[in-house]
Amino acid sequence: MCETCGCGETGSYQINKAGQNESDVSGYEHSHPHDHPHPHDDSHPGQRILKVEKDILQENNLMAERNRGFFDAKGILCINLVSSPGSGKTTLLEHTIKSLKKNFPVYVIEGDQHGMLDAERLAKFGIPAVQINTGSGCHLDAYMVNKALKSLNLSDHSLLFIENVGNLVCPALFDLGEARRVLVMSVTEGEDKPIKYPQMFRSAQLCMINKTDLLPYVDFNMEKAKENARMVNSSLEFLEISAKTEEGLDLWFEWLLNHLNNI
Amino acid sequence: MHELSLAMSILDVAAKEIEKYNTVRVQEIQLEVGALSGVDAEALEFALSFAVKNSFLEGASVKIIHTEGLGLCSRCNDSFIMAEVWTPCPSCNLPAWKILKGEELRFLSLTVND
Repeated sequence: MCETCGCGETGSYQINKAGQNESDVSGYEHSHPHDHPHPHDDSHPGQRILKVEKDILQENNLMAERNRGFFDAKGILCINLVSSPGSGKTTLLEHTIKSLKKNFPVYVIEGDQHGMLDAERLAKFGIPAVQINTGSGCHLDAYMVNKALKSLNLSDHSLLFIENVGNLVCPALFDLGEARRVLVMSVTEGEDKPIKYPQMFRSAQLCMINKTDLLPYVDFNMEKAKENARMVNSSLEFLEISAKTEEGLDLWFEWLLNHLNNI
Repeated sequence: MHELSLAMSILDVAAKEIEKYNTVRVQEIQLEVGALSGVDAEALEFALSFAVKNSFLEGASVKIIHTEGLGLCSRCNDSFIMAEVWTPCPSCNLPAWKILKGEELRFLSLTVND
């Protein structure tokens, strides 16, 4: 059974460093056996209500705060890149790495269900890249990121990109400890995406509208898309870019540098 | 879609609570799911029915308290009921600048038999 959407086999996840053959397979660790912790004892019959009053995602949120504390202490800007599949996150990262790696260290954690393709694609630019394979799971969580961090040996004052699994639903709820969540949508997706996937648009701080080079060929209303996104997140920032032609990327680099200098 | 992950988290939270008490049988768990939490309560119940199999929660009933969404209008600042995250203020037709209620995703309590 999938950890997330109920399909397929129970998911273990796998962390691989690009350029290395070792892999680290992990399952979800639970802090206890899922069985009766005590034998039934009839000597104290009766029903009682135990107050819990906890956030269901508390464990993930606590681990995310640990990650965040680590990033803060080392002056690392961590960006969680989210989008639907095929919106151009990896192409955007390629250009970003190429332009910025001369200024400071850049690292990537790649999340995909299967395969090393993206980490290998980015490792070609000479940066450390780790791939997390979520198996049947469809989002990264703070535990996976924490584990991946241990194999990256991050320098102070660096830039870490986490490319989440392409999915506009599940990753929205899982804080990874990032400083900023950046959502990439493309003009081929339609301007109604923010209304269809409001949680993701609500949880992001920056929305990059990619593939603007295709605007003459698709029926995409830029202003309507932004208006829809502002309905769910009135403080969302926007950048219009084409990762392919590199149009608008200078503003993205400026945005990153501003945030890196303000840590 | 992410409801099975949440079901596993619910199991973890419950197990930690149970460890604190000399408790054996869980009759019911009570959860709070806000209308704007991004979680489908029915899907969560369905996921829980799988997640609890062969666990100490097997056989326990699940009670979900639904919390209505409530936001403050970005113009008139009056509170209004939000069915969805994008529901606008009925008077001004503008989005909320702040959500007051409805994003809850909480484990409220356990009813147990000693």
